[in-house]
Amino acid sequence: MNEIERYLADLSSRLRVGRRHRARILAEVHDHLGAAAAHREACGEPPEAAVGHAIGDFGPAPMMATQFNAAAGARAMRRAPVVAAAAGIAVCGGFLVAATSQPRTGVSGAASLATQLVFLAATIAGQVALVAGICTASRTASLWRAPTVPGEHRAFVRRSGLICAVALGVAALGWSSALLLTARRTAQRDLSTLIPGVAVMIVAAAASIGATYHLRVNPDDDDVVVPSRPDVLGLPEQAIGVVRRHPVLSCLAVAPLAGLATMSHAETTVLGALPWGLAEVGAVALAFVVLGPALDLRHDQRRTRAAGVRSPGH
Amino acid sequence: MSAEQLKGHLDPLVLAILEQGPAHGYAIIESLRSRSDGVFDLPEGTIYPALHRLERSGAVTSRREVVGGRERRVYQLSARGSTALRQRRADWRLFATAVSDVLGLSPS
Repeated sequence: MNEIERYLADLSSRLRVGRRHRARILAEVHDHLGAAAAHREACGEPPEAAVGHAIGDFGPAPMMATQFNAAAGARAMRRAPVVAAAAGIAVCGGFLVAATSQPRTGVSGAASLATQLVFLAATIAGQVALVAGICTASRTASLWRAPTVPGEHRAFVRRSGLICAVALGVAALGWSSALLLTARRTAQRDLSTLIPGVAVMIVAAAASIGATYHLRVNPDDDDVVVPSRPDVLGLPEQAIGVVRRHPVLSCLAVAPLAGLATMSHAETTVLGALPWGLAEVGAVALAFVVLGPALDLRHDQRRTRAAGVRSPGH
Repeated sequence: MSAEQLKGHLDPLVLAILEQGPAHGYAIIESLRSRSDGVFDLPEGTIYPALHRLERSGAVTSRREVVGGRERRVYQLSARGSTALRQRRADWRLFATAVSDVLGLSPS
């Protein structure tokens, strides 16, 4: 094995990119080093020294791998909202197909209390998936034209995409269970739409979790951040920034609205719908408290305090 | 000039070099060095992530070519790249004039 091959082997072992991309990088680097060494030899350098200098001028393998990994991570990050959107559309489509199997009286008309509770939990999970999906898309859009993307943003997009996918999975399971339980209690059920609809929901959610989990965003490989100009794609992120600056106010504004929306779908009297509305309000507040820091919708006070202790200068 | 300082401006520099005609990575880095009189002397490998990034954004295209028995990937400026380069030149002119004015370097 000569020195160029050793360098390529070292670089290859550090690359965290797809198979085809790896092959292209290694071919280009091999060509570059060969051309550089040949040029030096033509200028009178001994062959071994020419190769050594060519490798030295190219840059250390760890540094080069970091740059390639950071670029590949940014590309992988941009796939996260696409995966989330495709899965969301498939799950909603599957739900609509499966729901046509239900009797005209609606879910609550034929469903037990337990089924309705499962349905509410699934709907709340669906709302979490929607919010996480918006956070994923918003951050990605704001960095869409950026030449380089810091590792922390790539990690955030993967994390929020994963929250979206898992919440979508919970919603798909909950909606499927509710529809199947309701179908068991009714005579007028249509299994020809129920089963395919449920299958689409489950498969789409599972595929979304798998695809998001395996996104190679390489958050530990940080390249030099090249500043980019803010543009219209950054507007959603600015709107989310308002929520981040006023978390309590935002939660107080959204939770009652979500509660009222749930009450309007409860298909019962206002008094009968009240517990469902209150459950929704509680769930929104709880989700905001628990998932808010992970989705960067509010700052984690404990983490902020800990950071303050570590760096008293700030 | 350090590689870190240069990286923020690498994309338009690469586009400007490709404006003269298609070139492979090694020729681009050589041209960058010679046209800057050796001031822009960054690790040569740094050019490839930039080229891949520019290709993804549609500013350059690439094709494989056999040159002297060696297969090489040759990069070429696209129409979108030409537009981007014009924009970056205008931005740079504005920025450089403003900095020169503040530093007192502008010819009075």
